[in-house]
Amino acid sequence: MKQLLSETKNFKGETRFLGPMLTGLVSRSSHTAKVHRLFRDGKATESDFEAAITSDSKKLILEQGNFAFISGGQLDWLDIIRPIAQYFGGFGWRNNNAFKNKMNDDSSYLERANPPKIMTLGPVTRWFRTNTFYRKPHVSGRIECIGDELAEIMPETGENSVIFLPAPYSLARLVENIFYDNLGDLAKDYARAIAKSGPKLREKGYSCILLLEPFVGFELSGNSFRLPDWFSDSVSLAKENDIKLGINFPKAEAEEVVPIIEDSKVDFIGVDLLYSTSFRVNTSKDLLLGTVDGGSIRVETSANIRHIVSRCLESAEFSGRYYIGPNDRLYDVPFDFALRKIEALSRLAGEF
Amino acid sequence: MRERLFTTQEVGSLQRPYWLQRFGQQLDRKTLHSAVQWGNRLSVDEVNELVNSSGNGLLQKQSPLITAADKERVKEIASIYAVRMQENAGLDRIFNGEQMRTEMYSFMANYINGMSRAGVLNAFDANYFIKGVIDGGISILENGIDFFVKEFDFTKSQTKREIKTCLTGPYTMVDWSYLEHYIYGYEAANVCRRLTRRKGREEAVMDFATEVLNPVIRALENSGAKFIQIDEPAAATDEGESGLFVQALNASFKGISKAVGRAVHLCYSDYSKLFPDLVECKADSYLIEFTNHSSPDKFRESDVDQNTFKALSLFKKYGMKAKIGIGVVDIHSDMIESPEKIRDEIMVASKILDDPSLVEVNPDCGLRTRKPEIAYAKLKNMVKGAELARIEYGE
Repeated sequence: MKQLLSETKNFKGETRFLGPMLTGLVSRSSHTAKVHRLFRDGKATESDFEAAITSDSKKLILEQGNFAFISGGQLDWLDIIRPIAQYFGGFGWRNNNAFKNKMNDDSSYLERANPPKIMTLGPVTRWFRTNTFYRKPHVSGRIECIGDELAEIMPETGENSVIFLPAPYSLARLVENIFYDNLGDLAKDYARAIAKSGPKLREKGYSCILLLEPFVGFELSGNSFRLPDWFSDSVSLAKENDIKLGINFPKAEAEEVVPIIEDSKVDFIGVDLLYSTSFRVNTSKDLLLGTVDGGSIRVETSANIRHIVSRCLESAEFSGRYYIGPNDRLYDVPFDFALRKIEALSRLAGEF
Repeated sequence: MRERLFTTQEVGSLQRPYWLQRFGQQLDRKTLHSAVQWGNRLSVDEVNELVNSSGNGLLQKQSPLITAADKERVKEIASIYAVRMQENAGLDRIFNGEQMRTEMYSFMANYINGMSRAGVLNAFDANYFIKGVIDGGISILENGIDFFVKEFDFTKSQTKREIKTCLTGPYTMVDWSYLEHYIYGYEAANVCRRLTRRKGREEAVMDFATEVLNPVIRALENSGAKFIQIDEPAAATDEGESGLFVQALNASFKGISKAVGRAVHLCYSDYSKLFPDLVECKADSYLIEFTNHSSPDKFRESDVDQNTFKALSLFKKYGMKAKIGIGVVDIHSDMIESPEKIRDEIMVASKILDDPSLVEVNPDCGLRTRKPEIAYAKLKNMVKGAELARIEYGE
């Protein structure tokens, strides 16, 4: 089986395994969950919560010894969208009236004139077919990168780090838009903001941006669907020269999604081999092979992963270079299982 | 006699009182206040059992003096607080606010053969849940049936109002669990999860309906229950499974007398995905989250967002005559909805359904997300809103 992995074909008859990588946010440990609840209830401090997050992140990073790109799991992100709304311009904010009401004569002039603002958030919304939820932010202006905050909130996890961001199409479908006349403009402005954040992210060690595109797989795949013309262009706009750009399609048919993105500027395409009925993909891009199940607590063995990879490589026509990883975020399995799945990927990579 | 319009009810659990959360710890001023102030406000006679001048109240005890009976009794008293809160707010159909349970998923899982705990996952912000794994064939444990019957009997003994029992539905229990037992064989034979998962899920959902929920509902009926609510927040998450969802609900209610009210609670989903399969469902009411669908930042006091109730038109389109409990109270906001706004929403829903007798009134979901003060104020306004709507219809 190992031989199969190294002897796979491509257009030029070459192959190269680039290493494993994560494909989205990771769940928090039960200890961190407990501290988080205590923090919410005012029984723990913010630094207690941060310390718990840091400890979990370190454990995750430790397991990624053989990984192509490293991630701390973005454990401090409440959901994949809220920090985007917080740090990119164009999302709605309003006065915090609760704070305003609490102000008294001792409040400074500045405090009274500029009370802290809070995001205008839309409905609590289920994250596809899971028991997790996010709150839809409002897009009430033009989306733009207005500072370095996105880079500033990301931890330094080494020279080859990866940041996970919502893909433009998914973001456009998952927010409440009250500004743009069409979603294509929203998606493109958001992608430009990603690209503009690129240099600062690169300075901080982020050499890869992985765009997460769950909407296609969860909502469209399996039915006959047609994506808007701007889908591929909007992804291309997120490309910044010094950073690898990938896009992952969890729960989508590989054969359906690869042609959609073939003409874009992404460096690699993430395909979900666990939810695909056919592996006959044809692309000049590199592939990220989703072989570890982000929705199951069964921890894959090297043999499991090799079996799926080899089946794909037997059928796929592509650049020959490939990463392996979970098919989706490891947010839907408990932290301990996520760690074991990462360990399985790392162990397999070590065998090459 | 014609049934009164716009029956009001809570729809999920209420927050556990602060004094119950603090039970077994040093009695402080805040705990004392929460027990006494709310006890007096709601006319709960049992407040003296919690705190009294002799110093032997349940909240005045600390470990190791606390007995198993004490632990049971505080939950019963919390149930009484919840019942009185709903009575005082003026609700027509009440329950115990699930004060004897921890939460809807993992609590239910505790009483099921073939389920164990996998670990903690995040649900929303600082809210987490323990996800379970189905690692064997599922069935209800005998003490599970005993628990639900005992809970019902106790609530019945505390009120003269119509009461209901809430149970987590088969589709949701399975959807929120890892299905190791049910998918193992299929996955061993096939790589593609899309195909193998579905088969395993079908078996698990139907086993849950027939081996877990149906025996519980039958036992409750034998004990005199007149209204059962099945909570299915995960319904409508996969349109390809709406038929399975309906089939499982019908199997859950199989053999139950028509005199027993059968409600289904739906929330935070795209309800259109359930149609047309929902037409075949044998439930006679649906309690549905609607208010959260309109954004709290766009949705001001006096406005009724016409899109909020658009899913109701599907019930009309398919000729369904089930009652619809419309969610008119947002459980994720401390803003107290005004009675006038609630009245207007009831009027809009009545107009869409073209029949006010089909409309019932409830919060979006359980108000356990809100502190008692907020929950109580919201419920009282909800009742007032229903009263205002009745006036509009000449009642």
